[in-house]
Amino acid sequence: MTSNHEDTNDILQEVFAKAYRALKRFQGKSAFYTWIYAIAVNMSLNFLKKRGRRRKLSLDDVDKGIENDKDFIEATSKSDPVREATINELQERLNSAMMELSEDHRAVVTMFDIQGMPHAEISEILGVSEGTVRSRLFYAHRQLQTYLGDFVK
Amino acid sequence: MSDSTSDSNLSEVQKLIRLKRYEQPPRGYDAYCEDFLFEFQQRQRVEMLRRSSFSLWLEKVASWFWGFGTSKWVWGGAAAYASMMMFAYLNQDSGSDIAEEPVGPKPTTLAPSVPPGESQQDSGKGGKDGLQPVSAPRFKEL
Repeated sequence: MTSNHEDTNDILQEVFAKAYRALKRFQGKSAFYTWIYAIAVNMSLNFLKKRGRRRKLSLDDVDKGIENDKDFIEATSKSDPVREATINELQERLNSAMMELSEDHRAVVTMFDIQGMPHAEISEILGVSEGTVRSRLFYAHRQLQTYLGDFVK
Repeated sequence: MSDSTSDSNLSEVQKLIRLKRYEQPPRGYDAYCEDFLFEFQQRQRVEMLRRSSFSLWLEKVASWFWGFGTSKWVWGGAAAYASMMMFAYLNQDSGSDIAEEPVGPKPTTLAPSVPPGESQQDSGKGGKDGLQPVSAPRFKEL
């Protein structure tokens, strides 16, 4: 979401501190995971809105397991640009494309595509309808398709 | 035809984005979690020391209050009503204290004792100054 180590670390500290303070108010109406994830997403979105466009990308390490991933193997075997790019270049490209999305669109892509959450859970976390989640996903994918067009030809 | 190409591209995009799952903190998850926990505990300690005892007490009261569940609104309303009544009662008490007459001998005034029905001319029959003691017996002449 932030594409920056320090920012992510600061937000995560704040999220846990807030969750720790509010733990007594957790009534078990939703799963604990959903509850704490909602705090994290809301705080991240607030932070990103305050930060605006000012950003400095910092890349995470990539687990070696990516080389055995069937999607990665498929992508590198089919597409020349992906095959020619190193893993770090690919990662940089993906992060840049993600940062082109609005905060709300980035949030749904992160939760749906990267974290693998179902639409219903995303809608509960964000407090919007499932239709809105699907619509945001649709537009986000369209935008990503534009930014990563040469990678998926 | 173009729709199917577009859909296939979309699915390719999704597959590429999914590769971000392999991203991890620079020193690995274990080292990151240890550092994170240490930093979290430090921050909590600093925060606790920085806060006043009143705000800590307030937080305790708030979390105790939240523990009531939905009935907290009833208790909250009752507490608010009780405090309003208490305030009104105390205000009323202090108000009557101010209005109370000062303690001490009351100033006495002598007034002519003219019973109702007697005219002004009858008053001349009394004493020199027309005043009569209140306790003096009065006889009616038959």
